[in-house]
Amino acid sequence: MHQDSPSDHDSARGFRLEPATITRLRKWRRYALLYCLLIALAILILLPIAWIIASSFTTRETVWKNVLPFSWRAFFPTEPTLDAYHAIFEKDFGRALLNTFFLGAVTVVVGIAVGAMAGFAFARLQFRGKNLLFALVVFSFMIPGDLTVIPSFVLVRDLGWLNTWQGLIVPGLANGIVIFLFRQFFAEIPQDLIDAPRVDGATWTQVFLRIVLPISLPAVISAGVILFLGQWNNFFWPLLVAPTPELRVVQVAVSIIGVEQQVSLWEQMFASSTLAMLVPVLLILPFQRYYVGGILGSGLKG
Amino acid sequence: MPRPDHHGAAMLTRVRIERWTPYMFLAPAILLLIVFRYIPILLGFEESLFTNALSQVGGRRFVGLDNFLLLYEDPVVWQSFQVTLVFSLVVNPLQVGLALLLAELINQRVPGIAVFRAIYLVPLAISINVTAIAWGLALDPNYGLINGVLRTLGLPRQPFLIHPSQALWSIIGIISWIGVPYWSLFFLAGLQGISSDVLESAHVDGASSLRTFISIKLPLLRRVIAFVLVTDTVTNFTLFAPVYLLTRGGPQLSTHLVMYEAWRRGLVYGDIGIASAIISVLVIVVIIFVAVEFIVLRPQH
Amino acid sequence: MNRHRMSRLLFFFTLVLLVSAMPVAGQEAVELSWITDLPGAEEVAARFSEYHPHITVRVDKVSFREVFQQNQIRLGSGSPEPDIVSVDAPVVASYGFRGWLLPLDDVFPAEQIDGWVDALHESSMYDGQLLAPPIWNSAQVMFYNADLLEAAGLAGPAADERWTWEQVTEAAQAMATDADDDGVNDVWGLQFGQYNRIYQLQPIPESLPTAVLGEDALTVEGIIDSDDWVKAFTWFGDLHNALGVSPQGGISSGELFRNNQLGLYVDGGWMINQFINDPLEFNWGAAPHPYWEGGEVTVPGDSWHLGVNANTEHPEAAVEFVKFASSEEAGRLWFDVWGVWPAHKAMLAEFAEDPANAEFPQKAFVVAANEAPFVTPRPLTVGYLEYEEILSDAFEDIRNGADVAEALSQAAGRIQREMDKYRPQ
Repeated sequence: MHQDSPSDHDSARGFRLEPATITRLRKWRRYALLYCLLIALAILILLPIAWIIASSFTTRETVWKNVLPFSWRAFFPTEPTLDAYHAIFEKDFGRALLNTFFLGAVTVVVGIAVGAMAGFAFARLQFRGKNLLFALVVFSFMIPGDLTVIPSFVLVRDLGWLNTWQGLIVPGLANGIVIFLFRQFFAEIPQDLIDAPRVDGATWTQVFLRIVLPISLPAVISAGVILFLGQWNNFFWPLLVAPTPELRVVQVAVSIIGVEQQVSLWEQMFASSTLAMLVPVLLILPFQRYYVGGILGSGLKG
Repeated sequence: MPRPDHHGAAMLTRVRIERWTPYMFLAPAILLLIVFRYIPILLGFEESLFTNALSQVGGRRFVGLDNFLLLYEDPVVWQSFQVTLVFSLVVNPLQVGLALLLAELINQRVPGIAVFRAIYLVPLAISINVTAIAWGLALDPNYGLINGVLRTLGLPRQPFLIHPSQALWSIIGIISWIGVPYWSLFFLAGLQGISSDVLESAHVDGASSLRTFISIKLPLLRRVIAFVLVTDTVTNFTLFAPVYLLTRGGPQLSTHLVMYEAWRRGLVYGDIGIASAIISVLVIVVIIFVAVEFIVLRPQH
Repeated sequence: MNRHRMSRLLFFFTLVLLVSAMPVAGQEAVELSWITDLPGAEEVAARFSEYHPHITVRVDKVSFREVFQQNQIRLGSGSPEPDIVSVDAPVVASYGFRGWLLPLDDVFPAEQIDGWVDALHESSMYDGQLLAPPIWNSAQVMFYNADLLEAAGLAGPAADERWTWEQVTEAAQAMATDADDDGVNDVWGLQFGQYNRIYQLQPIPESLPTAVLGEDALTVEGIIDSDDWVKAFTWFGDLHNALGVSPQGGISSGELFRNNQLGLYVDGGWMINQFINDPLEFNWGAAPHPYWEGGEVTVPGDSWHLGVNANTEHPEAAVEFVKFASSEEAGRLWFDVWGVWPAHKAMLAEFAEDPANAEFPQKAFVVAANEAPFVTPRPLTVGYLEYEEILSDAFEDIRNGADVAEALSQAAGRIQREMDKYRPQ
């Protein structure tokens, strides 16, 4: 990008510009192009979302006014109101948010423990059957849960776990991708860091808890994001195993609110959708740097 | 607390105990995977050998491979496999390619790039139900936002989801809206992991950005590309929510993906046996695809 | 990472898990579960518990499209839950065939059964047994925007005036306009509420008249691809294409109507309450469901029924609840909460004569109540789920301009393949 081609030199001489100025101009041109592209993509990504958010501040009467046909006014409600938000919280949306937070938190904490332990064993310990067991892990995320939803339901029912927290949590705790991420991350840790305490007589558990985990924050956060999003965006499984109102989760609440028998309270649906998407976005954004770092450290980098 | 082990006996005990340590570390994960992933998979395969819809007597009955025979004779199932194949052959390379380009874009070190990275992450956090509502309206033939934009540009109105020649492409576009930014994160991590020495020497040699990208960065990203391609393939082979929510497999079966047909047979018609048979075949196809991808992209040492 | 805090957290979560897994104390009390999308379900359940304090009915709310599959996965795998099964009228046969519902003939009082609208009584039976009593009646009516009709120089139908589809088509064409010439109508002429479901489209062929299902209840080839069907759905396709009076795409017809952009709107009586509670900003009315000139009057109107899970652990309590939910008292409650019609003939007559309902908008209730005698049930077949789903594909394709004869003949082939599986071997 920065090397000077002969033709550039010629034209530059014609304008009698200093080489430093040329470099700066080039840099500006490159920046302008880059930002145009970045902004265009950002608009493409945010437009449908912006419409949902804007519509959540409308009322039953005005929600479709600027959409049939679509005009730019749909993004700027004329008399913004929080009515829809009041309405959904009266319909217990708050409980669904709390339930899903709790589910997400437990899944993240226990899921990270389960995944990190397994990842550590695969990365650092020698034992019989390692390849077979690792194949078992990799193969498990080659077959998504959608394919086995009915037998899984029967299994959970036979365990007596319908309408319980454990029915919602336990089946999702062991996540093949999470184990895989941890294994790759731990494999990159320098051997010396592990050898030193081992020579001093530390057990593997101690090495794992005191040495490996504390330096693996990026992997822990990546795994946490994967596990949390998995629970937060889960719809079909919670509906299947725990339809009771006490355990209702956020995506199920979104699907019910505003879509009562043959009537669509669209503004409420948009309000619940807005909260359902803003929560994970706000939770994840601060961790974004680590998220990339977690994948980076996982040895997937070339 | 680390305790000093000076005695040979204690050392021996420790070795004996530690023989089991790896299995203790693995036990929770492996047990959970076996119980909640593998047992249901096996039950699914078993179910494909039974029927609960064929006989007036009712009840579940062993039929061997009859369900597979029915599939073989069913034109809709063949059609759905065709659609899925076309879909997969397009969507996976497309998403991987675009994600690579996007990763290169957000890897530029310019002020404010973190904001853009954050924005591009947003679709990842949005559930498929909400995505479908937003894009369903945006692509509406009469009232959609996109047609509004086309009209402003003086271009003709497009049917998008309601025309057999555009529906599958529209679905591909929608899922790429989520998929491309997501996968680009993995590539971004890969790009950032390339040592600056390598890029520096390319720069000194006078290679263009494009050349550097193709001949230096891409080969170094081989492992992450393989990972993304395989995971993306699996995800897209089993995709059905956008089709269920937006097109019902139409128009004229043009978006009738295999998973959608399986979902219909199992959960709408209540014919679990046939649905399991379809899924069993699909799993085999997925494994073949993934194996081919692994072979093509394997490291050439 | 602080290990102590982490282990305390883990301990706490484990404790919560254990506590929440413990069985509810006091086995005397019975909890029944019911998966439904019906508004007012909580109110009916609460009223029931006032009479039966030891029984609570847990209402598991889901959206309409989830009701069927959520019930079917559970019933199909032999689960004792839900105790109460929401059954849409046409799937009574399908569920009955699979043995999922408890026969209720011996436990239901004859006078309650005799009070139901005839078509709804018919829909609640399979194989000569009463399986699922009706709780609602949902006769369809034609809503009209009087202002748009007037602008087109037309007057709306009287409250007892049944337009023919020919009249409807003319009016729709007169109203449909594209004033700003952007290729999208500012006003559409006609649309159905459920424009791709047999539920609302069945009268189009049936009123010609022609059959919608073979006499053995398992034949569709030669029926739904017949010349009559092609004729009926060519008209339906033309509305969306050649005539351009009905919108394609997925925009809700109710919203278009509310937004003053739809002249004639055929949908269920359940919309009336919504148009009264969130008032429409124009003059509107309701008229009887249209029919073909020289044809028969048939009106979609079968609705939700309730059954008892054959595997329930609380059959007595569940039967009690179904009795209550289909009683006149519950019927009144449904109406008060949601404005939906009960299934009882006597109550419909009473509503029709109520002076409070003499003028629009309340008069719309009378229009809907008077449709009860014309209600025709949907095809009663064990293969209804397949029939409905595949026909919806065809209707959607026809809306989008596919060749009508081809779409119907493909649908006939697909449905027939599924239906043949139910034939005795």
